[in-house]
Amino acid sequence: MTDTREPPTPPARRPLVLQLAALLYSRAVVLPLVTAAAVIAAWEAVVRIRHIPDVLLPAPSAVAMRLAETLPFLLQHAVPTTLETIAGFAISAVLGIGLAVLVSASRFAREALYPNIVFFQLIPKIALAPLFIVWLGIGSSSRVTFSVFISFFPVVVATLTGLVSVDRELLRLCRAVGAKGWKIYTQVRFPAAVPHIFSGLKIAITFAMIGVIVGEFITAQAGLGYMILFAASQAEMALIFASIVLLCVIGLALYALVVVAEAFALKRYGA
Amino acid sequence: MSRVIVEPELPFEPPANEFHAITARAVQKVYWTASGPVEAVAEANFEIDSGDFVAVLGPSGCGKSTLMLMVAGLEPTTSGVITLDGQPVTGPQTTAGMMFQDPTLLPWRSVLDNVLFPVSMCRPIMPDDRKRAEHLLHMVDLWQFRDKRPRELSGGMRQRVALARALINDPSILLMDEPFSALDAITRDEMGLALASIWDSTHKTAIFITHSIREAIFLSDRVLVMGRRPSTIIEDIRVPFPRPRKPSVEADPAFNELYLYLKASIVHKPVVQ
Ligand SMILES: Nc1ncnc2c1ncn2[C@@H]1O[C@H](COP(=O)(O)OP(=O)(O)O)[C@@H](O)[C@H]1O
Ligand SMILES: [Mg+2]
Repeated sequence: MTDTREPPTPPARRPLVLQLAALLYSRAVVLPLVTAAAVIAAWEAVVRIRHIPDVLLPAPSAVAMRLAETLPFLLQHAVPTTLETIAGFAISAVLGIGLAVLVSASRFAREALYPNIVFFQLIPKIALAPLFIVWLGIGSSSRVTFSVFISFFPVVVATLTGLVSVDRELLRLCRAVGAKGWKIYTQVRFPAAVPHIFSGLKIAITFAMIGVIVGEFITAQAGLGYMILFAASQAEMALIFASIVLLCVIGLALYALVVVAEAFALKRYGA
Repeated sequence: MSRVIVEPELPFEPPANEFHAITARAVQKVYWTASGPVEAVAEANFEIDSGDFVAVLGPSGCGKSTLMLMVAGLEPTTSGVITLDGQPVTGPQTTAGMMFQDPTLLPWRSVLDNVLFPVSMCRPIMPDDRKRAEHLLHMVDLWQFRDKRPRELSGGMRQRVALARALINDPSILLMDEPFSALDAITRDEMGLALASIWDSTHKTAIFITHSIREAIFLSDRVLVMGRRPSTIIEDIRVPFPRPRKPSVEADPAFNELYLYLKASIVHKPVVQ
């Protein structure tokens, strides 16, 4: 047998467009889309075949038409919902991370605060929503506050987990070189916690939106939550679904923003 | 009238010999745990001369790591005194460079910035520090990798980064706790050779904890053996081979003799209690 040792040609990198096309046709993308399409098609078929009235369950096509008709109007209502969600989320992030740092850094703070924070979480928080309206009125501030109230806890827990996840020997090394406590936080503990913090933030962004919608249900002034209640009172089922679709899109977009930020952070701070 | 001149009486504890870089006097360590006290070190006495490379052998759990942490000032002694350069150790010693079984690098820092980590934690980095870090990276043969992240390196390379980091402050002593234990046999031998050659050019006083008797003999000027708990130092042996050491030293019959002797002293010591 002859052994002609040719150097193996390195696999040529495919152009980006082709890579994207390959991703699009890959099972991981196609399969869930096909499943979702099948469910929607079945929904449409059932509504048409059984002649289900619109006031009970509108067909997806009817929802789509209603959404197209009312989009400018719905978008107007989407603005406060979105802004309040972002505000609630941002405050939760700062408050949650700050509390976690405080609780992990000071034994006094830990013993005084942490059991109470955990206890707070056991309260069925949605039951407290009306209280926030009583205290803070029917404006944005009550909805944002309530949104913070239900979304900051995951940030605290995730950040704490991250802050204490640092390798013992690394901390030993810090002490050995005579590092100050705050330096250890900024240079070691906090960067190490970044991946954990983002897992908390991803939960917080969805909770923040839930908080705002519950607030809108109660204060009933504006926003997509309000639209849903209003449409229900008018038996406008297609409008309810149209509002929900828009909420899903906004929720997904906000979540995606956090995921993109996470991807950047992990590139820098990930293992 | 002539009087006999009486020599002044020596104080009860003689001042530490300035040639001893490290001394331990009746050092005991008890950890108080939920399940009761654990005597990690019963009594340790030794002196280590400046520039000596001392290996410490002993069964798992006999208190080797604890002893090293006490020398570094990271664990207080329960009783007894440790001195570095004649000064009693009372807190963390910034004059000690340390290495552990895991490289414990910061994944978000480049190799160069990891080497500079001890400096960056307590003062601003000066151009001189950078030069020194670059010099050390040449020494551990990682110069080309200075801008890489730890995840892009092999286990042996990461441990070499940790070695460069331990040397960044030009420490007077080097404390290493099983630094090569997590590496495969071949990489481990390479690291041993690298460490030997670095030691030949720096002559740092070093304590090197290991489970490998061959590694201990190959690297050190002296081997201490700790016994099972309650642990004391049960052997203290000079290693006679000339430096710089070459791998061929393992072929020396005296090497094997020492190996067998140490092996017997670790294995056959009666387990107390
Ligand atoms: N921080 C600690 N708290 C309680 N017990 C400890 C601690 N560190 C070590 N020990 C105990 O002390 C003994 C000696 O441990 P160590 O010094 O790590 O031994 P070695 O390094 O020789 O394996 C072991 O029994 C271990 O369980
Ligand atoms: Mg150990």
